[in-house]
Amino acid sequence: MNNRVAVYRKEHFNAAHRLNNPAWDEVTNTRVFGKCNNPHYHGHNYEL
Amino acid sequence: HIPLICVYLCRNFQVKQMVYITRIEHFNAAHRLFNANWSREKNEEVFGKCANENWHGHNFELYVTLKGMPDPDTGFVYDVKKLSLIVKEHVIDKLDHMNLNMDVDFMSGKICSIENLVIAIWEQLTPHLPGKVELHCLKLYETPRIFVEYYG
Repeated sequence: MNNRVAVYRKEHFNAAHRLNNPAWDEVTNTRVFGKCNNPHYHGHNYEL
Repeated sequence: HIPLICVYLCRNFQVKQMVYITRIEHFNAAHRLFNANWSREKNEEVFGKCANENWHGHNFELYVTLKGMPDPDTGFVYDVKKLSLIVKEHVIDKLDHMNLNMDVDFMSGKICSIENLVIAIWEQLTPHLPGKVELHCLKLYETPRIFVEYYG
């Protein structure tokens, strides 16, 4: 019998971020990333 | 005594028909907690990590609860598809993927706690609900373990 077990631990964190490629112009960043490109950031509750 | 009994029965029948229906919306946003009148040190002492000058963020969940009796023709207290459109237009679209401190006009000058945010959302939403609709409660989750309720 295989005795391999997977054990998990969940952690969480809350953080702000923005999706942006500095190599692209503003129009391209907005087109690709949409609202996620907001220069004032947005945020999430992350679970790890 | 008969008229009194009729009123009592009618009133109780109406109360038993009262239904609460909830629509859940969500938005992702950045914010920080700070009092502009305080020093940096005092903000850090009171608000801790939530005062981070580089912001932090959340997946917020907004529970919008209406109260009423089901319409005899539709069975609805109110069409929740229509409710969703109203909430999205007047609340969610102004908050989603935004910075609550910098981008939201109805939070301008306010400390960006969820206590203040849920009150501001109520004030934003109620003028746009049809007259026959009664908003019973807003519940706003900041994280799965932190939420506020507001009954207007």
